[in-house]
Amino acid sequence: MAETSTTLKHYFVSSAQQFDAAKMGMWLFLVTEVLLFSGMFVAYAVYRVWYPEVFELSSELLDWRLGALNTLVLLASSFTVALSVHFIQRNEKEKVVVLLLLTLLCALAFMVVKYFEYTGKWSHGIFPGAGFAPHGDYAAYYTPYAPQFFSIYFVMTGIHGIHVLVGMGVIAWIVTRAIRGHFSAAYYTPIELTGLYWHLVDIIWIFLFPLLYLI
Amino acid sequence: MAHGSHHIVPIRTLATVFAVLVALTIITVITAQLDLGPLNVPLALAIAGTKAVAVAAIFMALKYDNPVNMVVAFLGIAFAVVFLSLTLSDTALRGALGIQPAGHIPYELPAAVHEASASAEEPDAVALAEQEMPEVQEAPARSGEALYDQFCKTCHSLDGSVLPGPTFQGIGQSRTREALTESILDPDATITEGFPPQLMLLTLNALNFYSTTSDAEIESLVTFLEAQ
Amino acid sequence: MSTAGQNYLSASTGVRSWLLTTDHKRIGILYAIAVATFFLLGGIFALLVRTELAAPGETIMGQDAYNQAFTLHGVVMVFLVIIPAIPGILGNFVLPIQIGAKDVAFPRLNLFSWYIFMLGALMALSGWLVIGQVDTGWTFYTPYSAEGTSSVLWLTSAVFIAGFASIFTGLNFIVTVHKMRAPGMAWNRLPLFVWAIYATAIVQVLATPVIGITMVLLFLERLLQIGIFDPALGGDPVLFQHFFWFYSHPAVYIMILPAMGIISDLMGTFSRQQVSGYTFIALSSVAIAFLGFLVWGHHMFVAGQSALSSIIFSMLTFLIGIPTGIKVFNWVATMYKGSVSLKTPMLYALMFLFLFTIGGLTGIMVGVLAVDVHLHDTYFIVAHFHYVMMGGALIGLIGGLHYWWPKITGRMYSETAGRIAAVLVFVGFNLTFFTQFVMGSRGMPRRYHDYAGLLDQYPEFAAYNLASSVGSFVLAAGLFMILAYAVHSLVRGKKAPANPWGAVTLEWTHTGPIPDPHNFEKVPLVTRGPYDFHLADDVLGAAASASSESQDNT
Repeated sequence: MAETSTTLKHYFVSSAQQFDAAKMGMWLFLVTEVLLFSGMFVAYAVYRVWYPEVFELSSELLDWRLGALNTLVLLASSFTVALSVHFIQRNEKEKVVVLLLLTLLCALAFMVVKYFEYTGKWSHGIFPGAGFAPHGDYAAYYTPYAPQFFSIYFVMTGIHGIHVLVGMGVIAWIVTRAIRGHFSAAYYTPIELTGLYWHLVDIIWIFLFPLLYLI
Repeated sequence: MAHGSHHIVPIRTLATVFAVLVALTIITVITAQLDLGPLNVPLALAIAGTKAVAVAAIFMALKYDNPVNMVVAFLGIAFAVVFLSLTLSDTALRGALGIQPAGHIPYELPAAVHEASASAEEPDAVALAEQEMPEVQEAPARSGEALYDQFCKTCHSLDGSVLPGPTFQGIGQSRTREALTESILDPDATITEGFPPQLMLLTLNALNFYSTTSDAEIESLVTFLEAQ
Repeated sequence: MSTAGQNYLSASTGVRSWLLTTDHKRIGILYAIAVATFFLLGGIFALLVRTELAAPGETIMGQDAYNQAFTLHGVVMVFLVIIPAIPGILGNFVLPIQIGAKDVAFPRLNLFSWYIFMLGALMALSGWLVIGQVDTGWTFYTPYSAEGTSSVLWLTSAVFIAGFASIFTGLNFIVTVHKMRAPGMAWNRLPLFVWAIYATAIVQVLATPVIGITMVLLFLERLLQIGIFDPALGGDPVLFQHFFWFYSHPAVYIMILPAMGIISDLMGTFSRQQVSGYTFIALSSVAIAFLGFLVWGHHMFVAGQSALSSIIFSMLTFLIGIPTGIKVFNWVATMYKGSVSLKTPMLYALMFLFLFTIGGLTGIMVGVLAVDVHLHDTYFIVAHFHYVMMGGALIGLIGGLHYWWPKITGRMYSETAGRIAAVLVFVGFNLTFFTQFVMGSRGMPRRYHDYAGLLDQYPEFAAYNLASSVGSFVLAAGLFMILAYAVHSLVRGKKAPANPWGAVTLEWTHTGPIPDPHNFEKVPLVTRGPYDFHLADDVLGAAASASSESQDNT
């Protein structure tokens, strides 16, 4: 544990204490994220219970193939992040860089798919809330409370998308640190914490996918 | 590594979990294509929940971690559930105990226009809507123009501009009084070319048009349209 | 590392050393300065409101100005004063020392929280100055807030941002209590103030994100008309109230729990005996934190929520009385057969006991469905929550500030002045708010800028309102007197010994008169509970040299 002396803050007794504290702090932060998203899930549930048929009809406008693709992409990125933690614990630093870059690539793919989904919706006049004005083939979906479904869809996936973008920024940052050799089996807290965050982003999507695209 | 929170999860385990996650994704997509009736939502949520638990337990290593982190994670979920269930105890149960507060009148799409249930017998949409509408208090009669503003304006312009429905400009010249009345009471009897069928019936039902409008009010709406 | 003779105030100087500090004690003082400023501002708005209401008819402002004044009073006092006050000031200063830590777990995050808090606060106030006119009340109810002026957008952003400061502070304290305790500092040796801040932190972490998403949705409602809360678009305004109160009711416990912790410490120290029912008080804090999440619907009994929901929320509300009662009875029992010394902090502790009990019991009254229908939106409610928020939270804060003042500044204040001010505050407070109970129960509605039209039927409202307004100025005089002798103490105050009260928690027994930048010369080894006065003599003897003569030094 000789390397830890440079990363150990003076107010901690040991690097184990420091690591545990950081990890617990991250878990608490993730809990705040869960409760942040819970507000949107509550809004979804309330309106779904009120207007189940509107929600079923409106969800047909979302392409489940793109949703499933994005689910697989995010699951893969979670897998690569979990592997990167595994390899840094084994001190195999080159593999960590490769895996983190792969994660970044998956995240990028997710956002690209999301971009095409959003622009596809907008081109048919499907906007959140009062801007909701589907035309052409989609005009039949202009039902009361369909705007609520798409408000919730855009807000949920939008805030989730912001979390993906933030995650990409953080991963890019730890990739540069990994390349510069900042991490080792003795000190890898940032990779571990970023991984936890990224898995949570994945978990949120695991719920968003069936709720919005499938049922 | 001496410390518990530095447990190294074997690659084999990680790969197995990833394979399970992919398999569950495929299963949820397939089951969503089948119509399982009331089981649709619980099944999709159960699969999502299983996936989430797998990610949290293995990828996030909660299974091997200091138990306090599991307590923290559990608290977060528990309070999200509290938020959800106590809110639903209001919104889903308005009108419980025979006490109807001012608030939402739940709206259901008439089964006839719901594409997913195409195989089911198609009941008469108007009759269905009238049957299910809650009682509404007697209101003073509204003028034709007021009715237009309330129910028609969003889709039908008076000045020829393009909205989801055909414009009312000049409709007094092109239609008889009887044709106008029929188009209001049975929108799908004649469809202006290029506009979707059923949309108007659906919208008016949703707005409680048929259940809240008296015959005299429809008369005055027709008179208003004749003048256009 | 520190050298002998240095303390946290003298270790480094200059503005930079304060604005970039990661020392939890200095961050506590940064909070103190900010909160005191906002308290002054919120207090001025309160006095403006009371002045307008002193006599029927327009006194000093019209109805729009009045609506803005009470909105700003509410927003400033709730979000910028009471919520951050005790955790930010005393939690930061005292908690790490009380558990024997060198600092909080994340010192840089701690400083960052203060900057976020200041950003949110300045946004809220600048929005008022530049954009102007928020008159929704501090609750931002839809649909009015979704249609109002654009400064609602600005203010909701400010609340969103300030919320993160609260989240990060709570997160920091939870991890600190879990991971940073000194050797021997078992959970059952934590001072009750630590337990209270810990319970508060749980609420901050679990509840605050929901006000965040609520503000985001309200923002989008205003910007894009997403139709979730606005009935004109098919939304449900009562749903907004669920979202709002899911945070804002637990927020009440964010405000009151830390004050309860202070009172527990004061009761033990100034009765010189073991706090009665230590375990029960500690766990009742946690119980209140959790139960506090289950009762938010009692704000919405007349808002149109389902009758079943109202019944559930009403019954759950009564449960809060159990852990609260446990605390009150144990505080009283702590004084029984103790050697009670009525120093200024203890006066505030007794004041808390009296005022908070009134505030809490009237809370049970308005938790009764039928009674609430009569009292909702009257001055009875205003009086109830001021007895809890001001009579509870702020009186607790003032008591705590007096108690820890010598440790924070190294100076004593005038005990005589302290006692006179305490009497003024007590008299002024009760004159202001007890009259509101009476006129509220007789039907005086809240948030009215004028009551001239009510006087035909209720001529007594004139006298009650005048008495209440007079009381508010007496209260203000008491608070300004505290400010005056605090400043005097800073400049001319007698140097304080390390342990002027003869307390036995670590911040008194193991640090110098003013703590070292890293709190302790060496990490303390804890061998006894926080109120083991019978074991304290040897500990006090072994403590820092200055405390040996402490017992009779005041």
